[in-house]
Amino acid sequence: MTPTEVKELLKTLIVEACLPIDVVDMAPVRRSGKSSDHTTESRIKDVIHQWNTDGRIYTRTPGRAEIMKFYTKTDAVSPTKELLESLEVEALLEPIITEQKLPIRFTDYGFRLITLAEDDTTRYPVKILHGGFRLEKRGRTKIKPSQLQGVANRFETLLKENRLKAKMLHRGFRLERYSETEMLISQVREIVKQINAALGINYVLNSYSYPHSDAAASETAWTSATIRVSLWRFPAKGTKI
Amino acid sequence: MNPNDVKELLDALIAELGLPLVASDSGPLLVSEQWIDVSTQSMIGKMVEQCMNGDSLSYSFCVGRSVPERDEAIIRLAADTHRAPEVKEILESLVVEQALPLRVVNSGFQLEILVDEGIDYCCENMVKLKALLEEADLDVPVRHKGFSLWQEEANGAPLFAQFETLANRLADALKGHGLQVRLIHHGFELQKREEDKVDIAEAQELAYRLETMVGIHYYIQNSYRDIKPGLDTEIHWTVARIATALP
Repeated sequence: MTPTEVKELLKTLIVEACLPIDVVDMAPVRRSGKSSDHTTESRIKDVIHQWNTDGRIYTRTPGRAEIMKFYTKTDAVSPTKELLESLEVEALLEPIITEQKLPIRFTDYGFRLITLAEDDTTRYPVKILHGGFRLEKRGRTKIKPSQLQGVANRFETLLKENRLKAKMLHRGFRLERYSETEMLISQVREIVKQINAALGINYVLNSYSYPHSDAAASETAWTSATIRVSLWRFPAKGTKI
Repeated sequence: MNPNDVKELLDALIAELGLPLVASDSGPLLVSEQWIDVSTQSMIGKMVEQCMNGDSLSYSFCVGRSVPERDEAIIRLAADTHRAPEVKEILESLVVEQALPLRVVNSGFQLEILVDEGIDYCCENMVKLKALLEEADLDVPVRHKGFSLWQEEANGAPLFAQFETLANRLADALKGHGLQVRLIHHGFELQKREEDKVDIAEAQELAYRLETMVGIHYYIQNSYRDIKPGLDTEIHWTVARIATALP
């Protein structure tokens, strides 16, 4: 199965479950500099490294070796863990924004999908979906993660039957300020903390931007921010929580 | 031996093997572990110009690594060079999969000359450059960048085995001189017609997917040469170079 066929399989299962969700293809985005999403790319390398137990894939350890020994890795076993998790994050974000009347809207950066066919005997069995995809709810429907759990289970079973490893990596959310109402970037950090506390995910404020390069980097001047799973997916080994 | 002697030897070997190749001297390489700011780089550029006596002004910087670290990275990268033909096939399959109007072309190879400890390997120009850098109190080691191998136009593309043979023959000839040879693949070019509209993001995505699949580092260099004025260069680009990067 190619990554596109894997994505189509997920789409079919969602349709069969009559869930009001569309799987939307995402075109590649222009990268400035080396990479547009260093975190996800490093996590992908980490997953491939974990899949390479028999050394048959050309891969290198992501990150610096001395750091990696303290690094608790991305869950490479569960293909859909981050699919369900992203819905949980979304379900948390919505009430936080509404209740606190925050002047922000958010959009989903979607997923990258990588696959490894166990029966592929070439040195290049790892494949990656072009662009990526995101889930789009139809209308104002609310989807609970539990509604997608059945689809996820069936999806994982079918992948196993096809002797295929797959991993969806969620790229996080973009938060955008839509009014001049004052809002501190620390309030975004606070949202991230709430996600961490509620879901036990190492979520981080990955980046934020200002309207002009010469704008004073004040705590309230931000216009958009990205929040996503940290490269350090789980708390570092030995860290007391 | 100095780089000029090696270049002569290389040219002789290319002629002897009857390869449709041209070797060009890549000039001095300035290696700095520390970041070099733009004004210092420009100052060094002027020093290079002063030293080259009208010869080719080709020179380059390697920033962020010491000489031994760079040598080690070159050795690691060279260990992947033999995979260039199959990596090209993978890249071509990715282009076909997305039905993009792109042609994949090999960017050629580089012969890097690694120098054993205690061996003096530099030409007159490099000696002058070292002196100028010392005078300016700049602690930037000067090495030689090696030789680029380009395919002669109007001739058939040489096979990878021919590049390998050339590198091995040169390595044998330099063995007793404390010089080691490493063959490095430059990467690929994605070429298209100006009128074909393909967002540069597509080329960047192909490079990213290729890197993920094969475990070799690549980066994209766009080329906007001769694009008609007024056209969006990010769409109407004609060449996107997928260049190999040091690991």
